[in-house]
Amino acid sequence: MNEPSSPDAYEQFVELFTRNEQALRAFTRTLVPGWHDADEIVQEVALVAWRKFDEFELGTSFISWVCMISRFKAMSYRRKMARDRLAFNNDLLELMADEAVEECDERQREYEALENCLRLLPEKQRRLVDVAYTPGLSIKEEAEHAGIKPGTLYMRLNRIRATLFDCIGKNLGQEGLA
Amino acid sequence: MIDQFSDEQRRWVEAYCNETISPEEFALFEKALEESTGFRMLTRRYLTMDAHLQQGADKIVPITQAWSDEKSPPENKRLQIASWSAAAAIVFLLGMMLGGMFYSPAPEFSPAQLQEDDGIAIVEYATDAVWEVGGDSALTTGSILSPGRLKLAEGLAQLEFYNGAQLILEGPVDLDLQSVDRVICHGGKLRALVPASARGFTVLSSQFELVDLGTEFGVEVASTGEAKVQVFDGEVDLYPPNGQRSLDQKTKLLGGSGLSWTKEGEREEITSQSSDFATFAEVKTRDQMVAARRFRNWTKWSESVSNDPRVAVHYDFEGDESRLLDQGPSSKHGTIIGSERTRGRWPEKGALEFKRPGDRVRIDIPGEFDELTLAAWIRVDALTGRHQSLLLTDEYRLGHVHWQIRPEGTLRFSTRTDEADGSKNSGYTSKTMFGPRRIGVWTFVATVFDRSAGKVNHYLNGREISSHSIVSDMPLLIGQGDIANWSVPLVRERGPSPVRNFVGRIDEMIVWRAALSSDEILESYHQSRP
Repeated sequence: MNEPSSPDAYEQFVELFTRNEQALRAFTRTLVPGWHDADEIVQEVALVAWRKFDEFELGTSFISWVCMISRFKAMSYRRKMARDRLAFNNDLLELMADEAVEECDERQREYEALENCLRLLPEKQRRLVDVAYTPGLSIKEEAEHAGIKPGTLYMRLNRIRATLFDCIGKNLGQEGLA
Repeated sequence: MIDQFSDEQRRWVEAYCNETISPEEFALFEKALEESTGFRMLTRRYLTMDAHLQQGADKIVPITQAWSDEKSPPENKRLQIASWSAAAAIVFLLGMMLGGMFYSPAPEFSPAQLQEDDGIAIVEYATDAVWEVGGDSALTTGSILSPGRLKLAEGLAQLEFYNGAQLILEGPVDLDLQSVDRVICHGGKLRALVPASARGFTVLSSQFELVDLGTEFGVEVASTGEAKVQVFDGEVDLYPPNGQRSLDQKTKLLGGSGLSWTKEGEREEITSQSSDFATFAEVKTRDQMVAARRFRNWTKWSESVSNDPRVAVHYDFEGDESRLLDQGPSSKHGTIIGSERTRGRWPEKGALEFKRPGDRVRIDIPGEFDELTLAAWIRVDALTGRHQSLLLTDEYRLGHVHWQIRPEGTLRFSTRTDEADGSKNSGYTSKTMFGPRRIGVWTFVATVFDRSAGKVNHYLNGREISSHSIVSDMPLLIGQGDIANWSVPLVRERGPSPVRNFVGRIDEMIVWRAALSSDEILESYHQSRP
């Protein structure tokens, strides 16, 4: 393996990667069935990008570069996925990827807006979001364990997401765009 | 907007996102996506939010805590008896958060949490003010005031009520803030500017009840009972102080006129003299002068700190390089990542703004510490409901230091104490320091670790707020770490790292390889406070 080893390169990489990680995660999420899939792919992309960092040309777009890596990772990930999981076919995945890479700036703004919107959520709803998105927890199992019907829980999550979706839209003036 | 999806599309997207979609529906979903650019775009936006939501959730919450029967009555009783001032506070807070943008809450949304704060006014300027309220409570610019007694011993202060009324107090002043539109003046001199939004603002004294009709006026009340009201602009209604507001006892005063009372209550008409009272421009100028003086004072103090041989690092957050300069003897400069330069405690003072999850300063502080003092000037701009890092070491190995604000607003200093078991650490958590009242207010925090004395002490604005006995006796290490964030080494394959970024500003951080005494901490606060 040919890892660039100078501390400067590492600092530079960490800076670029952390600055773009959220947009990369968002990009990846649009290609795969679950956020935990996206997470796994982002971890892999971090590793590959670091190994290949000396191939990256400074001054060109880092986010486009890592998105390209992510796109290939998502395709191979899809092939390895369990048969019963419902994932986009290759054509649709490529179409989504082509379009998504143009939207990275928008993704960053949405992320910032979401942070504001989350603060406006009542505490219970925020906690529910925390439960639903804690890595390693299965929301379905958690619900069953606590004697809550998963269907009810999903409905409530859907409503919270709809509230947040609208709040982000209003924050960014996206009402008119479709 | 969620209604940009058709009902069918929305059902598909939600089920896909929850991974509960049936194979049949998934086939339809895929087909619809292939056919419509707009639907693809909306779907990406929805899924993106799903990804972002995950990034924000980093703490394990038992589901029972997140669950309540939606049909049960609201938990917060204050929701039902929301007073007008609380309602005003909510509108104000919402306005702040949304930047004045129109926002109509969805039915499920309720601002119950925002009701926790009973503030009615903000201290706009108070630079040379000396307060006598609630013991040593230090009100500064940005402090929020609740109903209650407010005594200004000396100096000038400017308050802004949530309804827009502004008051200048010229110390000594003794007030009772009753609500967002009602003040009792027991003594002292004040000027009020009441915009149309605050019409009806009332000042009560032993001689009169003044009801404002949108204006600028001055009030002077002597402790012996003499009083004066002068109207500079607009008009006010005056009534006897019996709370009746009966119309036949009403006196109308117009701009240019005034009334004075003897201590026996005899009235006399006077002409108003605006120059008798401090003006808003004057308060601002004085504030700037005091700020400039304090800034110069800090500059001198800061130099003496940098030359103190006990200092391990002194980041003064000045300059405009991409490095964070260490002014201390060992010049261990930090590297600024993401974070942007901004204003600090004073207009002339530099600071860094930490906002995005990637924002951080990379630092490297070598050495082993038997004594350690961490101190920083910080402005917390949001309580995020998760940990916020002040200084975290990358690794969390034996002796490594973590210094952070916990979700409930306490300050925590902790260190790993068992090499084998990561869950074993000794932590020292202060009482709650950061509530809604500290948001947006510059605050001096310090933690002192003294191995020989066996103590860890936390300080807020120079005063000790908690003291703990050391549980595990070992020297401390910092090494590589982050200010305002946590860098779990990326290249190591491990689970997603929790978000710990600090949200707010920092404009000074000092690490001493010594345990400062409580006097030294207090002195540091006084020499560097805004």
